Amino acid sequence: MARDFDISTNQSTFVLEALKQNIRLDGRKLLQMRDLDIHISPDEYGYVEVSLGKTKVACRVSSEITKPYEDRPFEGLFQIKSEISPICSPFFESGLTSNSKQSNDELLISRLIEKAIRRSGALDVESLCIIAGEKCWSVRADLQFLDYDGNFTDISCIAVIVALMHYRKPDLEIDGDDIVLFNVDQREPTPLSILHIPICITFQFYNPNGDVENVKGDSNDELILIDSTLLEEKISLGSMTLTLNKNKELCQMIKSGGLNIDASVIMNCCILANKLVDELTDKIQTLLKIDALSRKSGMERELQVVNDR
Amino acid sequence: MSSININTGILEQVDGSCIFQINSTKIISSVTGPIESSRIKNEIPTRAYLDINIIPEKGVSSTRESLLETKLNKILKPMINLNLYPRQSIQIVIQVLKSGEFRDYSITELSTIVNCVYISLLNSGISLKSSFLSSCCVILQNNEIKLNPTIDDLKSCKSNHIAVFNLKNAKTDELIYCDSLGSFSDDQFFKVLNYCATDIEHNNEFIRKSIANTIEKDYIWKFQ
Repeated sequence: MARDFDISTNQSTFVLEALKQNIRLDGRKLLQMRDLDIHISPDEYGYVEVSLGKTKVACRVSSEITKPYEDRPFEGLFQIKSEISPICSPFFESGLTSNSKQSNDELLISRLIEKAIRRSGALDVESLCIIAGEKCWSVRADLQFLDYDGNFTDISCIAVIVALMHYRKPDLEIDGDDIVLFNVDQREPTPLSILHIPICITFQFYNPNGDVENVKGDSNDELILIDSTLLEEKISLGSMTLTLNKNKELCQMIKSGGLNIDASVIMNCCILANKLVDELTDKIQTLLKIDALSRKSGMERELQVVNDR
Repeated sequence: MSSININTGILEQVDGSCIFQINSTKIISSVTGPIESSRIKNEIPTRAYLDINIIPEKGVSSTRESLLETKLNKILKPMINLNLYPRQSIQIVIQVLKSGEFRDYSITELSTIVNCVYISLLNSGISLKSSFLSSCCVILQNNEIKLNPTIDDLKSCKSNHIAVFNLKNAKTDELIYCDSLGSFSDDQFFKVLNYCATDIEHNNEFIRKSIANTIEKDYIWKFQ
């Protein structure tokens, strides 16, 4: 269906009025995230299902051996597929339509994730090289959007990075010109080299007095909230996505249009995002640790090729 | 024995949804409809248009998915009361979460998809002419018939088969669709159909129970 999600004036005023009183429809505070639930598939590597409230995303990482690009002989390939299907909401159309709303949303999300993970160098592509100029690993992350209740960017970024961290590629040996690939049963597969964990935090901005006030008036009492639901996302007057890692490095900052926001407010957002990123990173790392422990048997530990450092 | 796991009505934005897991195959499907057709050419004056989309586990849709979509269309068309919804469309989206087989094969995937879509359709309240379920099996090198084949079975088998039956009073009634690949004899084929029919009846008991559970939960307000 090509039609957009319609919100009545009543509904949007109600939500805004509630936001002014620091209440959200689901009972959260303005700067409070929904519960993040990460489910790691117990019987394979690199498949995770992540949900943030009602928003659900699954991500699968897979790899194969291909020829590297000619101008980059020392680098492996890494691509992220983020196609939004009508499964998460009938407002998204299937297939490629050039000027529909979906292709815009989709493009925005895929650009954001691309920047957050690929261009921030989270995955060390040079470690994917097998024989320079001839063979390399091609890693791809397939994002599957399952249910849409706002905030696709943050959740898909988490899904991709967790799947990447969890994925193990088969171990191999180079024998002259031949490559010997080892089965999972023969040798413990090796993890990808992840250099840092970027996490996106998206802020939505609202002005209780309308957006004209923001430009002409003196008051700067914008309402800021994170992890918006679909309804909140639709009535927002502007959004900003920050990508940070635990080392307090800002990987990207995107604010395309919308309300004018003071630099000091943005700084405050950064400080808040930093705190959230710390919490999320710890959560992800403990989850992965628990998963790793549950997989290891005595035999596997002996066959492992990667040293515990 | 096979382990089946069914979860219905999990998605918020669509009319009907289901996660169906059998052994190592996991499928999620959604049904939305009847809705306005997005393209004029999909408006059929006498019946609803079936918009089927299968999204693979990894990579982009290829001819394999298109073939599966055509097969599924063939199976679903006689089962849905399409003439109740003229000029509308019914959107069915299937996302393969875990394939459980290599890309050269598609039987376990297709049979799981059929079962998953059936439950989603029930969940969405779209009018169906009959219940239907699917099952798949292989004939191994020693002429043994094995239901719910694993990856290794598929690789080493002589032939693989899929069958879809409709159900009447919890018994299989008519054969709606079947597809076989490999070499096999007449006798073997009929035996395979019988095997599949029994398997479907067996699975039906479990599926009915889980559907009844969901409906009970949906109508909880009625009994209070």
